[in-house]
Amino acid sequence: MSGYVYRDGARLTPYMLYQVERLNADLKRLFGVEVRVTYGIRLHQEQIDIFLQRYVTAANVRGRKVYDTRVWKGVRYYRISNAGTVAVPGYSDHEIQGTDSALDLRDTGRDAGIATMGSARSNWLRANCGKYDMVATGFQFGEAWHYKIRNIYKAVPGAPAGGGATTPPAAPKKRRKPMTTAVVYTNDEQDKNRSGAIVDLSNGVFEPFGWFPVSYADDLAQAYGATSAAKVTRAHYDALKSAAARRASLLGKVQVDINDEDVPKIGA
Amino acid sequence: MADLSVTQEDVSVIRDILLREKSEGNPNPLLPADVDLDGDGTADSFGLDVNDQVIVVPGVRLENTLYESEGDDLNFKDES
Repeated sequence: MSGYVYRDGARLTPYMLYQVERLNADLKRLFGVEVRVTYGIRLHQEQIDIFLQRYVTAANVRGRKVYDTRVWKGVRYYRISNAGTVAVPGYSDHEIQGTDSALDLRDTGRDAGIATMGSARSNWLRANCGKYDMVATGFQFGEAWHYKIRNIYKAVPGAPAGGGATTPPAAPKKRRKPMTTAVVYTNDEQDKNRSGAIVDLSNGVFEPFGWFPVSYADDLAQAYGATSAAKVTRAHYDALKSAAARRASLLGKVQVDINDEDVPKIGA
Repeated sequence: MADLSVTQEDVSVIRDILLREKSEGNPNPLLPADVDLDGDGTADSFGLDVNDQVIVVPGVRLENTLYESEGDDLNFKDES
């Protein structure tokens, strides 16, 4: 997606930056230090790269110290770096997971403060991270600097319209189909063709469109904005026609009675 | 549940890793098979039995394994 912003070289959404700056203001006010972002959002290839920097396959361990293992694509990998564990590509908090991502944080203090488990500043952030839409997930695997951050596409409060919100790539809008409209066709076959009609019972519509090849049924339904095409018996077809006529009468509409036989056979 | 599948080569490498740790003074070395998949701070881990054969030890706290995360990629430095 476009619309990323950067702080300390780390990739963020505007909402992530907004929360980091809120945290920064509080850290300055309370402790006199500033926050630094070591890692933010990682693209998938970046996750692969960092994973392969720290993990090797069995054949490449070669007597080195190993800290943990992970299985990626059916192969066990061995971590030979003590810099930190790395999730298997596709499963990292740092890769965007829905509307969540992750931040690795430290501060400008002598001991890195918020990144050091058990320090006063780390304890403070662990207790207060929810105020910044963060979750202290790193403590579960010995990484006090690692926080999940939620709602990363949320608009930045107070930002001018269009100036603070990012959204995930928009999915193509699905055409809303009227639920009451259907295409029905009879099961009495004539040379592989069927007799069909558009039906909208709530509006008293029953409009035969003639004979058509069976293979067109779904395409016809889509063309008429119907949810599906339904094959019905001739008796049911006629019953739907009568029901639509009654509804049209109740609505005070004049339904033009089009006889199926009056509709030209398509392709004839 | 961690993926505990191993090949013969994996078993051999894991055994070497654990035996080396043992020879360096760790009487019961444990190597995480994966890292805290469910967020409870534990990991199913590989260990050695009394005959120094590789076994799986479920639900070990990470601090009791070979797991380390120093964070040296965080570039700790005094900016104050």
